Amino acid sequence: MEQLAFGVLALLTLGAGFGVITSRTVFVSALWLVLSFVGVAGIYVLLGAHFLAVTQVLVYVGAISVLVLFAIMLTRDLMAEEHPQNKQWVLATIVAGSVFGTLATIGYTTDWALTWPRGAAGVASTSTETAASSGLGSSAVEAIGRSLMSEHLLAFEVVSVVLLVALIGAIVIARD
Amino acid sequence: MTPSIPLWWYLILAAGLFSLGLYGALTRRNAVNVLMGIELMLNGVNVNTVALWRYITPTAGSGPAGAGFGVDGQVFVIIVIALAAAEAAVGLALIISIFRARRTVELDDFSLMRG
Repeated sequence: MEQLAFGVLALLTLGAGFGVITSRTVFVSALWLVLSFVGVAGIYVLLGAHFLAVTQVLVYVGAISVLVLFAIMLTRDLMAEEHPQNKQWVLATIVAGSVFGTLATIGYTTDWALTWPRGAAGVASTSTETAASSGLGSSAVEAIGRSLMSEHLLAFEVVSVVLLVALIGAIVIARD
Repeated sequence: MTPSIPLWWYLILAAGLFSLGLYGALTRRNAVNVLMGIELMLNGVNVNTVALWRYITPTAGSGPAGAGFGVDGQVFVIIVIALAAAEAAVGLALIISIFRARRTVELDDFSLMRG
């Protein structure tokens, strides 16, 4: 059952990702991108990270997609859609293919249980069970909030400054 | 309980997303499309992070009292999502600004900084 859900979501995500890089018009690409983001949100649910799934839908499906669509609308000109790709597609195929091969080989052949002292074979598997039975749900949201405000406070503050700078920068760059 | 989906399924899905995004970012002429490719790559990285958190280090960091798991992996991903949003905003603002000046979003026409 879980495998079936994973298969459907993976097919959705990768198929929509393929649509993003192959469709001829930018607008259709953006719509495929939204579908791919939804698929990734489903993958997060499957992994038990429900809060991340909600964040994914809010930030990516909600905000970034709308931003991309706005940019497409604002920059629409007489774009020649006959050649949406440039001439380096052979080189790009080689690069992307070899990156995929390397990452997939590493992911498949590495014995991940050895990389963490309490790896998948040890304590973690029992705690995974606990996490699954406790649902990782509302308690995880509270834990994420506490973690952001205590252990990861510095990262939280730095990100907030980065967001502020990006906000001001975007306004300054876009209006002239 | 062993999870019914092996970890490497997720890792290969993430690698596929990353490679699709890389191909898109390298080949598209339209700058908005290149940004879409970068977003796909970031999503692949996030899937990878969440999968490795779930399978390898679910106990890292502090979590709900007595639940026996931590949320460090999820916090990482939240920070990456926030940075991706900032990057998208600045990138699209740059594209709009360049479009105003040059009336095009084709990357091949952006040769202002070529020496």
